[in-house]
Parts: sequence; structure tokens; C-alpha cells
Amino acid sequence: MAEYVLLGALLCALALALGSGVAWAVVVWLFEFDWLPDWPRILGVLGAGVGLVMALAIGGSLGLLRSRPAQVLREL
Amino acid sequence: MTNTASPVIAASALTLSLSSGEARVEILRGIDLAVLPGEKLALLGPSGSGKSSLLAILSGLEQASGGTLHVAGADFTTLDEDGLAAARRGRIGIVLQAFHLLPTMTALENVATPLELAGMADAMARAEAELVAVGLGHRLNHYPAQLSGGEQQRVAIARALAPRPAILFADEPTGNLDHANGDAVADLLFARADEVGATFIMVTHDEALAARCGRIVRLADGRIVSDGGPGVAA
Amino acid sequence: MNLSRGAAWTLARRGLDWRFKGLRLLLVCLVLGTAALSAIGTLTGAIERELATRGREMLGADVEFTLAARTPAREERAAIAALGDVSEGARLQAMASVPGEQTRTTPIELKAVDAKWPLYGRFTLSDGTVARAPAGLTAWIAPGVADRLGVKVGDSLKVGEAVLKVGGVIGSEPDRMAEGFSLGPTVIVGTAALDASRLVQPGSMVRSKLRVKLPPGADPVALGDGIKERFPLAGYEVRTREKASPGLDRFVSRMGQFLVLVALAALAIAGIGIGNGVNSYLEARRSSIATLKILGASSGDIARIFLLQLAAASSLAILAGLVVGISVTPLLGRALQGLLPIEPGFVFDAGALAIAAAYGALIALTFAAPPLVRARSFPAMALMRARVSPLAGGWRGAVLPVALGLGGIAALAVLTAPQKLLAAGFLGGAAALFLLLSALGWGVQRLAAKVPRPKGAIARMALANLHRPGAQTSALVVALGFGLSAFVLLAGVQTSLDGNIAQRVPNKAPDYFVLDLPRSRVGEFDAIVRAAAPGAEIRKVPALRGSIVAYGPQGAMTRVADLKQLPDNAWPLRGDRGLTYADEVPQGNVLTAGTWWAKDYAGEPLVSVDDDLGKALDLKLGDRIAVSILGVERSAKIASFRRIDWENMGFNYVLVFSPNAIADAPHNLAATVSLPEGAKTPEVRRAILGGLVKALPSSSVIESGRCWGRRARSWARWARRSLRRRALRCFRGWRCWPARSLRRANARPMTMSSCACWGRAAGSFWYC
Repeated sequence: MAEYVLLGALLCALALALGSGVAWAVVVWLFEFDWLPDWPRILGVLGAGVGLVMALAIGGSLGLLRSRPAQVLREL
Repeated sequence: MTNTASPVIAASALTLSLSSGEARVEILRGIDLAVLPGEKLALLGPSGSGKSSLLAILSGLEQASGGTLHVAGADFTTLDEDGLAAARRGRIGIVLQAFHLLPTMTALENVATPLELAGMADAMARAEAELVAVGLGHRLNHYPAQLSGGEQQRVAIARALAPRPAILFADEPTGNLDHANGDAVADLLFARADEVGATFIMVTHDEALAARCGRIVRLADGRIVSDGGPGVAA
Repeated sequence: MNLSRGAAWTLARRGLDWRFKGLRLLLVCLVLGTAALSAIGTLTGAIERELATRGREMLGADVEFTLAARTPAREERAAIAALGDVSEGARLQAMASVPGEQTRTTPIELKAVDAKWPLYGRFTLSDGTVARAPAGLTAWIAPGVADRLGVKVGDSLKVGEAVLKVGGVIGSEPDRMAEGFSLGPTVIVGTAALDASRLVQPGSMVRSKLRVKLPPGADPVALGDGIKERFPLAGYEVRTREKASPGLDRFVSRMGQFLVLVALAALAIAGIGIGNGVNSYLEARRSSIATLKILGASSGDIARIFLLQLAAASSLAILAGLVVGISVTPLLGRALQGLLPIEPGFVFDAGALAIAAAYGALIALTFAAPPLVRARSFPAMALMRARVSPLAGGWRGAVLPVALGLGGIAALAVLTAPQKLLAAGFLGGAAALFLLLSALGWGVQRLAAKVPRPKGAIARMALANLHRPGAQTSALVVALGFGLSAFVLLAGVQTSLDGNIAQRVPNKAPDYFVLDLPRSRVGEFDAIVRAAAPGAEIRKVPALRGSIVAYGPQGAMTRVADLKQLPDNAWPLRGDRGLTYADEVPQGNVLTAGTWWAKDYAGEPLVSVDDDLGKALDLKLGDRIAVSILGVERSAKIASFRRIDWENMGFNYVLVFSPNAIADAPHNLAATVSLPEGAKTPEVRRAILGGLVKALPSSSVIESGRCWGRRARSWARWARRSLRRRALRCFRGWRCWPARSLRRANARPMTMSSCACWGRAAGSFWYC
């Protein structure tokens, strides 16, 4: 799991940079407003997104984690 | 059956080598083999001797690395994957150890599939007749998961023979079955191959099973070490 | 020989698990994506159509001529009357109070109409009675007036100097949408009541309206232009039924487009899910594929069989998505009803549904193609060997379908977008993001393979997990990177809109805005304010209205009427705007070029111009600007350029003249009052409001704290709603703000905020 946490952190940083860039373009160019982001809320959304993915991923692998080694070996 | 006809399988200097990373593994090292129409041949040998690989090449599932191979009039060494599939269609039947039925299809649909792939019009009727012939007339609409191992292998035999192939290949056909079921399936296999008139080539560990064939070819380390010749082991 | 279509379908059907095991990810992604696209497309289309078809009713006319600060001259009126049936009216800010009770006052939007109003649509009272202009001194009042003043039908209401009788409460006002933002709820009166109020005086901020019902077949645009050409100095603002609400129209289309792009981004993310779903579906069927090959199926047959399966599942998913999309549209419509002109009920927009279905199909094709092409090359031998590692290569065959799919998506997005460049830019950005993330995934995988093996077994396994054959690193980086970026994008846009609307303004806003303060009553005004709050800061500026008619070097001036298209950022050239004159540089302004005129300057008329406008029109010091005030053209030499701090919430004017240039035109003043912190008590407020309303009945006093408070609460409600709904709500009455905000050079926040709150009348202060 550790490798994916590291990867997730890297992706968060990237998403923050890229998403903000595009959002800036949408706000300034499309809507022609000022760029006034609320960073705590954006970080909150990002955190919630990562949390959701983690929850789904862990939920999805629960079966795998619960399975007994002997059973898996028999099925190979 | 006559032994004067031209061979249905003619292999000469067949080699197979597979690369695994940097290393190359020589699996077959020059196989010469001629099989006449209607012959029953067993390929015997220890694990890793290359018998399953030889069967794969002869049945067109794999291409040889070298040598020439003519099967049922087609030059297998010049055909690509799709060409081999076309050459197999309707001419070659294959029965595998693990049955390999299509799980989402009923027994009837499984047997009809090769007929449909070969573009035969009355696929369902012929499939039904074939299943009745292997004693599964009452299990037509059962799914593989609803059938016993022996029943599944019977469906596989019906599927392989439904298109009336010129050649029937079997790879350890009784390997996944208990003794009683294995014997029953072997009896059925030989009987149906006879009725259809197909040349029969079987890979097995089982000396007793091999002995039921008219010819036994023994392999070791990728080479033919003995060829019983027609009638020797009858 | 290839498998016939019928046989392929037979095999595909048999191979399909009708509980869609293994394909559920694909189904969910496609259903949601298609549903979102179809709902957005249907709703946007419905609103746009409604705006177009209801333009006449919304405007209450085929063509409408609006004039600021004066009534039409006789020949103008005659020329307009010749076009068709004319209904004349006026609109202005005013204060309404309960006679004899100084503290029960509220700002209102006074709308005077004549007997012919409404030319189109039906005006009804809250009890369902169909009515027209109220007779004599009767008034129809909006429910807001009744609430705020506590008056009911039959009670009296004082507006200006007139005491009116409440004849009924407004139920539905057909041309409400086109009236734009108002500072207070509406009070509708007849012309006799308007005259009795004595609110219309020379220089007062009245907007006269001439609404025309044209004979069938007449072209409103051509006739409107004709009047403008005939009276170029009159300063008419012409609106036609086609553009009843251009700001709203533009907003709906932009918002719709933005949402389509958001939905596309979501669908692209879903596409990654679809690709992964198809991949694992086919991996799970590897054994079946090999079996089929053993039985004689060619790779083409395999592709055809599984393509049919995926097509069947995708078609069902797309169909379900369309049904969901159609089903949620009435719910959205109901939620937005009253805010926007949408008819409730099911809308079946074949075009929007076809586009949504096409997007769904193209996305499914694009993302399913690579695993499908790979599946073709599963060798039959896979069965003969125990396990085969995931197949590398095989991507070349996928290039054509993927390119076709992506090309189709791009073409569809660009062709159906009103702003093709923007859509193309968005797609380019998405593609660049995709490439960047793919490269990153590849880089991470390579890096993990290159770094020295750690000693710990767990760390070693973790590292190996990133680069082992079949590792999902790249797919994970792309999918998660895309998804998280989209989250940040939406959050950034949403919070920025919130920020623009809510954050900055209240701290800087004065406590009172006073419109139409007669110059002769300034002493009284000051006395009332100072008596109630001695430390109050009062600012007063002359408030005139006029339009720019020409600009440029003397002798070679450009006539605005001759311009086919306004230069970029030259929004002040459009329509009439506020003008002022001053002795000193206005507060918060900085001279960037030239000099300010001396006090009591009496030479050639001079003007100081907003730096941004100067740049937009390429003006130089010494060039001239001509404006039309009350139908009289006045020209002045440019003496300086100023940079305006649009955020200072004060009076900001694009053009500030030397007093001798325009002070002789009839006009009133506008004023702001900022109370010291200690004086912001209900008693002080009551004293100021009551005193001003009583002493200056023709002036409008707007208490900004009240307005902000109300707006702030409504914004807090917005924050809980979706981006779309919020933004649409924003446009209900405040149609003016996009139009105005877009006029500005650098999208300064003041524009939107002030306009959102103060609307077109008061907003003119900020944008003058």
C-alpha cells in the first residue's frame, strides 16, 4: 500500500497544479471573473476525492485480503 | 483401413524453440512423423519431453520454428494464426484435459459452436445428434457448471467430433477424471473416433491407454525415441 | 472465410452474461456519463429555445427603445409611433413609505405603464385577475412591498409626493425577465400616478421606454437601427425580441457549454474506467477466446464477437442513460422554474439526445478498442500453457479505431459548441493532460525499476508492485490524475465564483446610497445625516447620463454610430452611462498621463478618461471625446488618463469632465454615506432613513447593509447548491452583470459584485 500512498501524494500535487490551472482559465477566460479560489475548500475536495478512491480501493480488495492462503493456492 | 494411402500428417525435421528472456529453450529437436488416415496414435513421454508441444504444432495451435508440416492437405508451415484457424475449422477436432467448455453456453450450444464457425447450416440439429450419440440427450440445455466432469468431457468429445473432422487430437483426455469416468470417456473417445472415421492422435502418460492405440510414439527431450509402427502395440 | 454477421451475433449473444457480470463498471460509467450529457443538453436547449421563442413576451414588445434621464422628444415619439402600436412607460428607483410613518420605508422599482401595456403576454394579479395599467392613483404592488411595509390591498402607499391606493398584488408580470435587476420590489402605476409623484424632474434617473408592437413581417432589427440612425444623438438603447435578454442568453449558452465540457471530462474519466472494465472483462474471457480459436475462430471473428457483445452492453447503457437524462430533466426544470423560463414537464430534444448518445458510443468505442484489439491476438496456445503473462504489444491495430473515436469526439464537441475555439482549447488541454499523465506513469514505472532494491521485504515488494509486468501504475496515474484534476477544477471554479460574489464587497460598501439628490437640497441632506451621525462620511458627485458619440483626434473623430463592431474592451461605447464632473482627481483614482485642470478652470472643456478605455480606443492626450447629454452633443479635449481602483466601492466614472464642460446640463447628485462604527445602530439608521425620506421624497435612499445582508443569505443558500443552479439563479434578475462585466477590460471583481447587488440602475455608478 505504501507505494500507492506515495503515488497518490504525487498525483494530488499534480492535480492541484493542473486543475487550478484549468480552473483559472475557465474563471478568467470563460466567465471573465476574478480568480478567487478558496484553497481550504479545494484541498478539502481533493482530500475527499482521494479518501473516496482509497475507500473504494480498500473496499474492493477486502475479499482478497480476507481470503485464506490455502484456498487461493488450491485454486491456482 | 489401408496403409497405402498418402499420410494425413507429414512432418519433417520439425523444431520448436521458445525464447525466455536471453535464453532459448529447445523444445522439439527435429521430429519426423507421418500419420496415415484412420491411424490411432499415442504420443507418450515424460513431462517436458515435448509431446504436448508436438500435439499443438500438429493441430495447428502453434507454429513450428523449423521444418515442414502438411496436415490434411494444407501446408501448416506457411500459414499464419488466422490461416491455421481456418485450416482447423471443420477438419480438426481437439479434446483437452480441462474440457474447456464455454461457460456461458449450454451443452448444445457448446457443441454447435464449431459447426457455426464452419458455417454449417443445420448446426443445432447436428449438435443435438452428436450429444445423443455421447449419451447426453437428456442434458442438452445444461450449462457446464451443471454437469459432472465426465459429462463435461463427453460434451467436449461431442464438440470435437461434431464437424466430422479428418483428425481428432486429444491431450490427456482422461487426466482430470477419476478411474471409472476416465475409462468410460476413453471408451467413448475410441468408439466415436471409429464411427466418424477420424485419424486419432492422443497425448497421454497412461501406458494402458496408449496401448489401445495402433501406434505409440515415444518422446524424450524433444526427440522421437521410439516409434512402435502400425500394429505393434495393438 | 469469415464468420457471417448472424453467426457472430449468435455466438456473441450466447457469450454474454445477461446479468452483465464483469461489464458493470462499463455500464455504470456509460449510464452516468450519457445521462449527464443528455440532461444538460436537453435543459440548455430548452432554455435557449424558450428564450428565443418567448423573446417577444419577455420584452413585452417586438422592439423597445429606452432613453435615459429624459422623455422622448416630439419628433422622436412620432417617428417611433409610425413603426406600429406603441406603449409608453418609464422606470425609476424610488422610495415607498406608509403615509405618516417615517420608519416604514423601502426602496422600490417604480414602473409606470400606459393603457396599452402589456402589448404581449398577460399581466395577472395574485388572485388570478387579468389586469392592465392601474387607473388613476391606484398601484399594483409586488408581494415584497406588501411584506416590507406591511400593507395590503386597500391601504395607502406614499411614493414621491403621491399617495397611492394599493389596488392589488402582482401575480405575474410578463416582461419581468427583460427588466433586469431592480433595487427593490416593483410597484406598477399608471401615468397619472407617475405625474402625481413628481419624481420625474430634469436630470432625474428615469428610464423612458417606448415599446412597439410591429405589424406582421416587419423586421425589428432594421426598424430599430433606422431610428438610431435618424436620431444619432438621442442616445436610444434599442432591444429587439431576438435579444430580449442577451446577457441571460449568453450566460445560458456559456454555462451549458461549460457543463458539457465538464460532463465530457467526466465521461473521459469514465472512459478510462470503461477501458479498464473492458480489459478485465476480456482478460476474464481469455480462456473462452482461446477455446473459440481452437474451434476455428479467426482473430477477426473474435473481434467481431466481442465487439458485438460490448456494443450490445453499451447500447443498453446509453439507452438507459438517455432515459435517466430525460427523467431528471423535469426535476431540474422544476427546481429552476421561476428562475428561468423553462416549461415544466418532460422535454424530448432529439438533437440533444442524439449528441449525448453519439458521445457515449464514441467514448465506448475509443476506450474499448485497445483491449479488444489485444484480445484478438490471445493465442490459442494460452490454454495449453498454465498461465500466460499479460500480452504486450498489439496496440498498432488499435490506432485506427482510437484515432477515429477521438477524432469523432473532438469534431462533435467543436461542431456543437457555440464557442469553437474554447471547446478546441479544452480538448487540447485534456489531451495534453492525458499525455502528461501517461508520461508520468511511464516515468514512475521506469524509476521504480531503476532504483536500487531496498533491503526490507515489504519495501521491495512495494517497489516491485510499481514496475512489475502487468503493474497498473500507468492506468492508475492517468485515471487518478485525471479525476483529481477534475475535482480541483470544479472546486476552483466554484469557490472562485463564490469569492467573486460574496467575499470582497461588503467590507468596503458605504451604508447608504442616495440617488436623485437635488442640488438645491444638499444642505438639508447634510444636516439630516450629520444630526443623526455626526461622524458620517458623506461623498457627493454630480450624476448625469449620456452616451459617447465620437472619439479620436480633432478633425478625424470616429463616430460610434459608424462602427460595425466595437473595439475590444470598449464597453463604455455601448448605450448610455453615467457622467460626472469634478474639480479634483476622484478618490481612489491615479493619473497615469496628463494633468488635472485647475479649480475654477474656465478654458476649453476638458475630460479625464479611464486608462483602459484610452488603450482600447487608442486615444492620446489632446484627442477629443464627444458625448450626447439629453440630446445635445458636447465635445471635450482629453486632458488626462486615470487608473481607476474599481474595488473602492465609490463612484467610479470612465469619463470625468471639467465642470465647465457639462455642469450646465440639468442634473441631480448621487451620494454615499458611510457611518462610523459606533453609529451603526437601528436608532441612527431609522433617523437617517426616516429623515431623508420625509425631507427628500423624490430621492431614493438605499440602505446597503440591508441589501448585502439579504444577498449574503441568499449566497449562503447558493453555496449549498450546485454550480449550475447557483449560477443560473444568479441570473434571474441580475441579467445585467455578465453584460456589464464583459464590458470591462480586465474583469475586475467590482463589476460583478456591485452589479449583482445593485443592478443596472445603481450599477451605473460603478461603471459609468
